[in-house]
Amino acid sequence: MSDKMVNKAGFVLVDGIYGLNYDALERNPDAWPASYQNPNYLNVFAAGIAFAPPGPISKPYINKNGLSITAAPPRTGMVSGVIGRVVALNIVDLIKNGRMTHHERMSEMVAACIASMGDSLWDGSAAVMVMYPIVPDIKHYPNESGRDLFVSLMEMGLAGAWMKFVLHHTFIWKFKGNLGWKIIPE
Amino acid sequence: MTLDLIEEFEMEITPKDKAFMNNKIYQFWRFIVLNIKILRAVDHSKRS
Repeated sequence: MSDKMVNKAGFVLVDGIYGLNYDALERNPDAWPASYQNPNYLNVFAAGIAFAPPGPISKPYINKNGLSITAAPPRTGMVSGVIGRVVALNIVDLIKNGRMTHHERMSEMVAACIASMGDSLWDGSAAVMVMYPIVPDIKHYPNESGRDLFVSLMEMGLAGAWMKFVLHHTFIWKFKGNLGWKIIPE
Repeated sequence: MTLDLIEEFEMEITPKDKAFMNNKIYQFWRFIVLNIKILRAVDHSKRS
């Protein structure tokens, strides 16, 4: 049973295409899971760090000491929030209509990250990063990074510290389900 | 494959950059722009 449920590392297998090497995975953004449902046990979903990614998001390397350097996709923060929303809405769909209508692959998902470097609102600083799509899609964005360069950005400064402060408060507002929580991004 | 062929990438924060990073008026402008950019990116994303 566990072979059908999880991979060797213990991550839950979902509707992605597993076993592709990096070159094949890079050319096939649809190999990334869309509904995060286990294909063998249809009542099992895995969101955030629980699901097994099909592979790395950049070319794996081995250094001269034989150490493997492999970039796993980020599955915490905004990504886990977005996947959690997709899974939750699909469970509601299954209960109400018997079929799922929501899906979002990491190769079509946007993520923003704010890394704090001092939380003072007067002289603090933070790095703001926006990445779209999270998993490079060289089919749609045939540049070196496989990403939309009009959307993807990185910037450092005091504005980031203010954004981190606002983000914390809007998140708590959203989690409490207060007025307008639906329009606040995950 | 090894890391031998990786290009060296350096990013230096100049004193001018540092001044801009803590300039309140400029950073207020960037705060507005970055918020709009993130909200537009979220809207641009699939969200289905």
